[in-house]
Amino acid sequence: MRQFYLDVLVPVTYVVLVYFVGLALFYLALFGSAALDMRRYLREVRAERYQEILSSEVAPSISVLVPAHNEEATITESVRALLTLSYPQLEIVVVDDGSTDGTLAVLASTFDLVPIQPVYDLRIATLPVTAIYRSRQFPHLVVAAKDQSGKADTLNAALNIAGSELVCSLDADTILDPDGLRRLVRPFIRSPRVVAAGATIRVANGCTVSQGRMATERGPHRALAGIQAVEYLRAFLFGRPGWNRLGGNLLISGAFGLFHRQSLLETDGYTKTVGEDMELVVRLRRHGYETGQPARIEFVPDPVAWTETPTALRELGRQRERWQRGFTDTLWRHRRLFFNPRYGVLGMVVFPAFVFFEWMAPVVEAVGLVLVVLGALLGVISPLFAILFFSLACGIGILLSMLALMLEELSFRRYGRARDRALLVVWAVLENLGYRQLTVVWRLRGVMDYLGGKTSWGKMKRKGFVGSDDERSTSDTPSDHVPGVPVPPAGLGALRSPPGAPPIRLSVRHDTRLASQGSARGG
Amino acid sequence: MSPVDLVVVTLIVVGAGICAVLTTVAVSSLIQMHRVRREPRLAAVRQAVVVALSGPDDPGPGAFTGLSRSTRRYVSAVLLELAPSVNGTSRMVLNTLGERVGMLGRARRGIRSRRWSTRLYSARVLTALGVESDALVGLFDDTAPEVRAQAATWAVATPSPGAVAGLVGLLGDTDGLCRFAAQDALIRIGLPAFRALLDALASADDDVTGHILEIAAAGGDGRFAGPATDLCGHVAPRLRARAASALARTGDPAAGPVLVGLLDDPSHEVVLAAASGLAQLSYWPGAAEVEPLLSRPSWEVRRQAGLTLLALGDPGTVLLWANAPGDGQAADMSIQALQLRSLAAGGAPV
Repeated sequence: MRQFYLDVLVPVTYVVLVYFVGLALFYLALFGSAALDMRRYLREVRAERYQEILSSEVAPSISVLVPAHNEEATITESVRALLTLSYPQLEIVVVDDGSTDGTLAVLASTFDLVPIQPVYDLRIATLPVTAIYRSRQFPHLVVAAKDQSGKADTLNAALNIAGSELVCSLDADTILDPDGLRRLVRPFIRSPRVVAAGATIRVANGCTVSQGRMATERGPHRALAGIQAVEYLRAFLFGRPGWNRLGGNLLISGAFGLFHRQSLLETDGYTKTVGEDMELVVRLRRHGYETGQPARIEFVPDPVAWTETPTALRELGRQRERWQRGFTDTLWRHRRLFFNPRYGVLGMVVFPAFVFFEWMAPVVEAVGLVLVVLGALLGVISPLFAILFFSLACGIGILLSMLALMLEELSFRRYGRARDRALLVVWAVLENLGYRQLTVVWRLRGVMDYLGGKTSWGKMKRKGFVGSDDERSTSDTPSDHVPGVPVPPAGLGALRSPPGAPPIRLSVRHDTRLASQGSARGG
Repeated sequence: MSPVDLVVVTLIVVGAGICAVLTTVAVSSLIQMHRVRREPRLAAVRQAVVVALSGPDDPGPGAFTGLSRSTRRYVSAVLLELAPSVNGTSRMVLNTLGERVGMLGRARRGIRSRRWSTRLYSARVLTALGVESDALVGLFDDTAPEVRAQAATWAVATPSPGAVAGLVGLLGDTDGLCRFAAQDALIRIGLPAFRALLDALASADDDVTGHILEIAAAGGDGRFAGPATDLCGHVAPRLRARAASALARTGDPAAGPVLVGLLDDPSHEVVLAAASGLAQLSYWPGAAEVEPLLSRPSWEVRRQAGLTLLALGDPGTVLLWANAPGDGQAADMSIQALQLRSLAAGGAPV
């Protein structure tokens, strides 16, 4: 065994070492790019109030697409919150995805809906829309109903019905900054080549919500949510802005993104896959190159969408497995891009970087850990070296997280209290002691699941909440999951208090794809 | 160097990096905490400014006691915060305060800075407070597109002939943000800008012509009727469509027949614009020509036809009712349009 290690595994160990050096350098490059991008952006928006867009006659119109499935308890607040978004030409398109509860009835009674002839522009094939309703109170609210067919198909139906230049995809439990759309629309105004723009997603656990708006922005006080908050900061303040300069992003989170509607229609909209958000962006970019007009994907760091993250390891594990499956699926579907000069920077830089530094990272990290432990056990590697090597791996992880926290501190500082920010430092350290290794396992399982042909989203457990205590959660609503069919997200209102009610503290989870890659390490 | 030494050295470097980053974070946090402790002073500044705003036109030096003790940063923040909410006399008071604390002086110097970010921020300060400056015109040629766009926004408050000319020039800018800001500014300026736009139309290229027509469509000045009518025959469908929109918005008596003529245009973009224009004009004599559009293959054209007939009053409604009993696309769209009509009227659905 010792001889085998020396003959075969030692060279592998060197490969792993070289890989880690490359990975560290890559992330430092990403950080440098992100820091430059952020600096320019902060200077650009200093003292900018975005007031002009509010009353502009030439601002592009936006349709917000809201897929809903069994959201009876929450849909009213969700839609009310969207109706209060400050944007001049806004349309809200809610599509009920075959709810078996009273979602549609609640919408009809609350917003005074009346049915109209269900004719619309069927640009993308979907399950038929069975009814379309308009509101007497809110002319810009459209509600449609169809049989259940999953989130992607429902979004495509909404896309068919929408009539604006831009469409905004939202996870139903996302809370937007009121001026988020005004900020996010800027890249589209700037260049006609921009086909999509993504924004920052932040962890809402620990924050308080009132009337559908974020009342206080606090950092999570629980380890699991806190560590995820650090991951999100790393992904959205470090990874995405970094890619803005290095060749463009490959992912816009499904939780909050703005797309050029015509581009979506030309590329057949959303695909039924567990990673539909990333797949869509890759397809948009690919289509751009294939039609001779490279399509730009922009990331804007300061419009924020707040979302809850899983608070239980098991749910988190399922989420990360699913992300990795979706990620693998997308890379496989678009494998033709890999080092293909026809696709320019996308094929030669961005796509390979995602394969090497994002998709392969858990595999190599797992191999590295096993080899070091094995080497130490066989006496080939001294225990001191093994410990030092492990410390180095953790140190680099901590350094990357700290760099993200530094960017946050020097830029937006949305988690207002110093105590919250200090806690983030603690979570950044703790992340490397167990959590990071767990994510490696989850991501590997995701790859294995994909190779095994698993296509479902897995069972998702949802909670409601009542109290103002972070510790308290209320109802555990079992999922209505149908195997093989993506489960639409919970409603916005799950995070919101009814009008007049006291602010509520979030304590629940939801599924939001945070990054292009499972552990969101920098990406 | 042995592998262990190499790892140790790397570890030390990484550790030092972590310490440096942590120190930066800690120092920044401490500065922030210090600012938060001074928050009551900020409240006092805000109060002093509001008191000054509610006082006489020139509150005198006494009113600035609180301000003079505050930092410039805070004062600037307060003034910028309040500026969009006030105008008239209050704006003048605010400007006086800005002058006395040196904020406007710095901004005037700042727009000549070598750093684009300083020029941009200074222009934003001057825009927020509506200050006039000869330097504005120079900013239209700035190397930074953000600054040019800000200059366009600034020009709304001070639409001198030079500024309007600069705005018209920005319509051909390579940066979309500048074009957007210029279009928006020219729409807001309105009448004083239209003469310059009409002059520009004579020599503009297709892109700029399109932007001018968009402004005309938003502005609705009758003087655009002639050029828009001419451009309805332009070779580019995009320009014909925009010309149709602009022409409709002028409300010119001759516009209806021109737009009816465009309903047979081979470009569905032009047909859409013409139908939409007829709706804006409520040109009911064109109803019979709009009706066939209900059967067009393009969903957008069918939809616009339904909406247009709806807007044409009784003649259009009669045609919608006539089409409703059928079984095809025209019937579907007619029913939907009639339902929208009853919805708008607050009645029961058809």
